[in-house]
Amino acid sequence: MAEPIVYVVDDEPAIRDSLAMLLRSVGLRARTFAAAREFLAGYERGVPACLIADVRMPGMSGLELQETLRATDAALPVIIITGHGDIGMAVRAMKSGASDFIEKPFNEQVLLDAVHRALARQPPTAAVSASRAELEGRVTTLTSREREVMLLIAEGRPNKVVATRLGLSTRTVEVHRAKVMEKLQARSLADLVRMAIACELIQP
Amino acid sequence: MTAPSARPISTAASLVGREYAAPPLRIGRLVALSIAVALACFVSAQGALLLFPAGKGTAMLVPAAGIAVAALLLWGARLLPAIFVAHVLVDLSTGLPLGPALLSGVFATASLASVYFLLDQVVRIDRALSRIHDVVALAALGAGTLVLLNTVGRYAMLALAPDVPLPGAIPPDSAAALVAGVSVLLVAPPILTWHAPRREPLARSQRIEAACLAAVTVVIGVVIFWDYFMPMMGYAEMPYALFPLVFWAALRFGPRGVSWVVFAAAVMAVGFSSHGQGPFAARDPGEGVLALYLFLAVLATTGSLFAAVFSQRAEAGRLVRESEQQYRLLVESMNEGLVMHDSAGVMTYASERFCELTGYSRDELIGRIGRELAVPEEQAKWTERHRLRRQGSRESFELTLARKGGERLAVHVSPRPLLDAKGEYVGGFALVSDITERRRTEQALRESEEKYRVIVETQSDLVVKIGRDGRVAFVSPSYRRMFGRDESELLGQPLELELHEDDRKATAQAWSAVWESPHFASFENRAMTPQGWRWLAWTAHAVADDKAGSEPSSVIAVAHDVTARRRAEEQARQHLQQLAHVSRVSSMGEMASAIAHEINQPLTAIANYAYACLRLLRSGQSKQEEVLQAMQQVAAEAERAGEVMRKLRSFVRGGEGQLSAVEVSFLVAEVLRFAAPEARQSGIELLPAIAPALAPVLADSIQIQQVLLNLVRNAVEAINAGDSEVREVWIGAGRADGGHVEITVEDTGPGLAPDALEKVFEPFYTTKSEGIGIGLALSRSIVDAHGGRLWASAAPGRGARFHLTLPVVEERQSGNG
Repeated sequence: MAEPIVYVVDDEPAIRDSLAMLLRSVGLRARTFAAAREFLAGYERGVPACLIADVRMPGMSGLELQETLRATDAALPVIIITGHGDIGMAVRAMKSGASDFIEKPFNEQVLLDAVHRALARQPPTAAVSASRAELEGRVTTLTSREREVMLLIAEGRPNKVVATRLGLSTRTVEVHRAKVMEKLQARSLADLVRMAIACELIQP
Repeated sequence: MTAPSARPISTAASLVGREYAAPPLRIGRLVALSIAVALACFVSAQGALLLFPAGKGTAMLVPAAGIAVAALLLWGARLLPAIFVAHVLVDLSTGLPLGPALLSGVFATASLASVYFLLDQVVRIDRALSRIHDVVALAALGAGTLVLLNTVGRYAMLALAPDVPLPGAIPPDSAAALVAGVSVLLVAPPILTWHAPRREPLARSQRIEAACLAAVTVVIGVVIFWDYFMPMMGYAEMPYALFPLVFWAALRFGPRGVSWVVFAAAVMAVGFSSHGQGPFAARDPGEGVLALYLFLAVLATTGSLFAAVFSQRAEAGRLVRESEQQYRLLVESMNEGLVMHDSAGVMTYASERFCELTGYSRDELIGRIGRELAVPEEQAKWTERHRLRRQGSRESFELTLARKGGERLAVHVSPRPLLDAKGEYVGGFALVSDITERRRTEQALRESEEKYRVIVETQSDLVVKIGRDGRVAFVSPSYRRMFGRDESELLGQPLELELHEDDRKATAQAWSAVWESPHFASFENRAMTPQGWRWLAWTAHAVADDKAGSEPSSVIAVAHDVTARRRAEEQARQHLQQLAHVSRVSSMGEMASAIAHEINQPLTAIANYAYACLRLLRSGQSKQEEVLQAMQQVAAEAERAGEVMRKLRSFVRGGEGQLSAVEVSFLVAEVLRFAAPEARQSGIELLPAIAPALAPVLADSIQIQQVLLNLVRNAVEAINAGDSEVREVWIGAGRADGGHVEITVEDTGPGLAPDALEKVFEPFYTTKSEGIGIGLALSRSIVDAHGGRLWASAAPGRGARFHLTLPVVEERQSGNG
C-alpha cells in the first residue's frame, strides 16, 4: 500500500510551511499548494490521502474546493481549517460532507487526530462512533432549553445570536452550551455538529 | 431739411473805400494798351476838332484830358508816356511847332500826372464813383487842379513868350482854361463807371427803362439845343430840363447811369452850341462857352453827387438788411430763447424759441413785463435780478417760468444790460434756456451718486477701482479700514496687497484675465492686514467709464471677507476627519474578526512550528538545521503578530493626544450625535443629563469622544442583548471630588456580574461573541493617561453603569467644598 499523502492548501505561506513541517515530524508525507486550483491540477488520484484546506482563500474558497471534490472524488476526506468567526462556514462544510473542521489556532493533537481519522476513513471520533441509539439516548438527557441551544449552536450560530433568539442572556447561553457539550460528550463544536447530523437533528 | 447756411456778413468795405490796385500788365499788353490810349486821345481830339469846332483850330470839348485821367486811374502811371506822345501829336496836328508842342506835352502830362497822384495816392479815389467823397475828389482835385494848372500855365506862357501860339489855340480867357477840367468831369466818369464791377446784370425791365431814359435824353437834348424847336422852346432856362433826367438816372442806374446821361447831354449841348445852335450859342460867344461849361460841370457834379448819395444809401441799406437777416437767422436758430426789453423790463422783442419756451405768441409777449412770466413765488426774484441788471450786472441766474398753460419751466437766464452813450440803462436782452432736462439729470445723478455712495461707503465689502494703468482710482472706506491705510496712501498708487504665497499666482492670473472678455473674474485669496491674514472673496468686473460697448477703462473689484466662512470650512473639514476617525474607532467591533484573523495566522504558524520542533527534538531524530529554521520562522511569525498589534494600537489611538480645555457638554453632545442613529435603529433612547456650569476638562477631545462613544455603544449593545422593556441609555455629567468631572453611562441591559465589573477592563475579555475585548481596556488606558479614572458599577435595578472622571482645567470653583 502506497504511503498516504496529506495535501495542504492554504494561501498563507507560513501556515502552509508550518503545517507541512508538523506533519512530517510525525512521519507523514505532506504536499502543499498555495491555491485550490493548483491542488486540483496537481494532486495524485488513487493514492490514500487527505486534504487540509483553509476556508478563506482568494479565488476558490475551501468550501468551494470541498464541494468540487465531493462531485468528482468523494473518496478524498477533507479537513477544513477556520479562523475566528467562521464557525457558520465550518458547519456548512460539515453538512456538505467535510470529514472534520479545526479552528485556528489549533492544538497539534487535534489536528493530527483529525488527519489520522481521515486517512483511516474512520468516523471522526470515538464519541461519534457511538451508535445512533446511544447518541439519541444522550440527546434525550438534554433539557428542552439545552436542546434548543444545541440545535442553534450546531447550525453555527454565535452565542450572542442564540441568546437573542431564545431571549436569554449570553452568559446563560454559555452555561447551557457547556452543559450540552458535557451531556453529549462532545469535545468540540465539530463533534457536536456531527452528532446532530448523525441523529438527523439537522439536515446535512 | 438743412439749416440755412450762414452767409458771410458783408464788411463795410464799400462804405469806407476800396483799395484799388492797377491790374498787372505784360509788356506786350502794356504796349498795345498804350497805343490804344494814345490813339483814343488823338482820334477823340481830331473828332472833337471836327465835331465841336470853336474856330481858330480849336474844339469846344477836349475828351483827351478825360480819357487820359480815366486811363491813368485804371491802369496807372505806366500810361504817361502814351499820354505824352498823344498830346504832342495832337498839338503838332494843330500846326504847333515841335518845340512848343513838346513843351506843351510835358506840361500837360505833368498836370495829368499830378492829378493822378492826388486822386490815386492822396484821396484813394474809388473808381466806381459811388461815394460823395469820390465825386467831390474828382471835381475838386481832378477838374479843379487841371483848371488851375492850365490857367497858371497859360498866363505863364503869355508872359514869357507872347508870340508863341498857345496849344489848342484857345484864347487865354477863363473858358479856355476850363476845357480840360470839363473834359475830366464829363468824359472820365463814363469810362471809370464802365469799368467798375457790376453787382448784377440789368433785368429786362431795367434795360427797357434804360432805353427809355436814353431816348428821352436824346429827345430833350435835341429839343433844348436845336434851334429848329427854338420858336417853341427858345428860353435860356430850358437846359435845366436835363436835371430830372439826371436824377432819374441817379435813382435808377446809379453813377454809371448818371455819367452816361450827362455825357450824352454834354455831347448834344457842345455839338449844337459849337454849330451856333441852342441857348448857349445865342449869347455872346465867350460868355456862351463859359456858361455851357459851367452848366455841364454843375449837371455832372450834381448828378454824380446825387447818384453817389443814392448809391451809398442803397449800399448801406443793403448791408443793414443783410446783416439784420444774418442776426435774425442766428437768433432764431439758437437753442436759447432771446428776449429784449426796455429799461422798465417791458419786452420789446422775443425770438421764436423764446415764444416756444413760454408758450405765448410774440404778440402776447411784446408789451408785457418780463416779471409776469415768472411763477408767483419767483417774481420777487425777477425784480431783484432786474434791479441788479440796471446796475450793469450780467450775472446769470435760474428762474422758474409759468408757461401759458400754467406749466412750470425751469430756465437759465443770461442777461445783458444795454447802456447808452451816457451810461444810462436803456434796457437789455436776455438769453433764456430750458434746463428742466438738465435739472432732472442733475437730480437723478445726485440721487444715484448718493445711493451708490451710501452703498459703497456703508457696506462692509471692500470696493476698489483700478485703472488701465493699474493704479487705484477709488477705495471704499471699508477697504481703508481693513488695511489700515489712508486714502492718500492708496489713490494713484498701484494696488499692493501682501498676498499669501499660495494665492499669488492665481490672483495675478485673475487680475489679468478680467481685462479680457467676458470681463469678469472671481477668486479668493489671503491678504495680510493689521489683523493678520484675512480670506477675501473677490469679484472683479472690467467696466467702460463712458459708454457700453467701448473698451473697458477700469476694473471694479469687490472683496468680501470670508475669513469666518473659511475657518468654519476648515473646522468642518477637521471635524470630518475627526468624525472619520471616530467612525473608524467605532467600527472596531466589525474590524475585530479581520484583526483576529490577522493575529490567528502567525499564532497558528508559531504553534505548528513549535509542535513540530517539540516532536523532532523528542524523537531524537531532529536535524539541527531543520529545528533552527523552524525556530527562525517562529520568531518571525511572533514579530508579525506583534506588528499586527502595534498597527491595531496606532489605528485605534490616532496618534498622540492633544490636551486642551474641552466643555463636557460639547463632548457629550458630539458623542450623542454619532451614536444617535444606531440607538434609534434599536429603539433605544439616549438621555443626557448634564449638570450646569461645569468647568471645562483637560482632555484630548477625540480620544475622550472615542471612550464615550465606546461606552455608549456598549450600552446600546447590552440593551440589545438583554430583553428589558425599558430601552434607555443615561449619559450624566456632574462635578466629582478632587477637581474632577464625572461622566456616567448607564444602560438598561442585563448588567454585569459582580466579578465581571473589573474583568471587563482586562484586555481580550469580552461578553460579546464578536468582540475581541480591547475596547474597554483601551478606554481605561486612555482615561488613565488623562489623569482620570474609568470604572464600572452595577446600576440600581438592572444594567451596567460606567464612570469616567476627568480633571478640570482650572481650580475647582468655590461652593463645591
